[in-house]
Amino acid sequence: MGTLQEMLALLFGENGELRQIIGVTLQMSFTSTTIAVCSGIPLGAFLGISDFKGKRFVMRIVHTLMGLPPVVAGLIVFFLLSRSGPLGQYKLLYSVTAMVTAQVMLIFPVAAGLSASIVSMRAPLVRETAQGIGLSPWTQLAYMLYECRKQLFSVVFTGFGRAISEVGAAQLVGGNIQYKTRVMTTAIVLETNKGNFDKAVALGIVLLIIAFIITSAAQLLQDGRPTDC
Amino acid sequence: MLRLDRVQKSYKGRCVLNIKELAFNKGGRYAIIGPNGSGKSTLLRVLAGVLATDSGQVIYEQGLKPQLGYMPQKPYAYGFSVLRNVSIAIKGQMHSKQAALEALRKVGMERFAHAKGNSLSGGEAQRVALARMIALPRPLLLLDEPTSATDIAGSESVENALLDYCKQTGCTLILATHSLAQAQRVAETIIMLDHGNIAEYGPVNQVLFYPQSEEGQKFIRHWKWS
Repeated sequence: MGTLQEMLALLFGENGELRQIIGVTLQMSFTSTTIAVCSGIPLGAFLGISDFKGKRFVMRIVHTLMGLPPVVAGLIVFFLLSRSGPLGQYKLLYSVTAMVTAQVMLIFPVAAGLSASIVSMRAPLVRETAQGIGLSPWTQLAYMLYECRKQLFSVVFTGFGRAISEVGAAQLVGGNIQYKTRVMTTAIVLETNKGNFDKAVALGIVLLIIAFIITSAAQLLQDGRPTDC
Repeated sequence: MLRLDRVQKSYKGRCVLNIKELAFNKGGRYAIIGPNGSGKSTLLRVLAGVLATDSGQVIYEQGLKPQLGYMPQKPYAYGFSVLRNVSIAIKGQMHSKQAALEALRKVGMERFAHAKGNSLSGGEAQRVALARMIALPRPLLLLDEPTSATDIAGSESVENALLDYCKQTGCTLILATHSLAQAQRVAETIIMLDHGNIAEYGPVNQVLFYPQSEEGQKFIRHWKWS
């Protein structure tokens, strides 16, 4: 009961901090997911559809990066953006941009690897038909993405899920700065460390509700979309 | 217009195609026959350029390769409408929808024009794939068992559409088939393959009724006329 009251107070109370945290969380998750899937899915589709020397090696690297620990991604971005790092002059450390960069590093290989697997399963069926009617490689790729759209939609969900639930990299490169880079997950860690378990659980429930609403809305959009051409 | 010169292809150490020389004349109608695993599909895939050879070369008449049409054994129908499945083959041409509809009509599939490609049966998908082939004039058609999944009526409409198309466009037709009756109805020349080698080559009636090689005689004797 206490947790529920805490949750409602956080959401609708006079203190707008939670609403601000939700805003940063959504901004970070949507931006990183969009960048990662818009680049990762075409790359994965290309890997899935094409045959070239060294493809297995490239796939091995992509699969390895799919399991990249968030703190390692955070550490790499931290070194790149720290004052003495190669991109230090842009002063991006402890900003939402830094958090998005780390998230993209985490989601991009997932999007590319899963898309490659999805497309490669269908590619042998489609490739010869497409080549037989003289479709250009770009047209083949576009039609392949269209054919696999439902499965690829799940790649977007997976990427978004990883972005919204990630804490290690966000903490490391965002710094959990109040009213600036604090997101739901880092706020939960902070409240747990402070011993405010009711507040931490309330934040966790809010995070789950947000994730549920977004995935349900996206699913509805996908199911209701006419596919006539 | 098309020639194979000492072409070899192997899969996992097994030679599946070994042709010293083979030429196809412009406007000719050829049927490739032979038992399972004799190299029919491999030969068509090599001719279409979708499969690279291990050695030797395929020599095309200038400008032929980008215009040829190849229909694989299991053609894929995209998830969008049947009409669009056909019109995608007609690149950048005006009235592509009308041409696609006309091609569908020729293979008896016009009533499926607005159905989804992925809702078709195997035989229907084959006829749609054939409509894609004949929707625009092509100098060469390579068809891998184009009626293997179609019923008798469907096969008949496909064969008629093919013969009409060849007559109108003067295109060269090379089809692989398991049906000797179909080979006799559609082709002028038969190429019989056995273990990747040419066992018989000649006019239809000569190959079907007077095969010279031992492999040819054995194959014709055991095969059903369907």
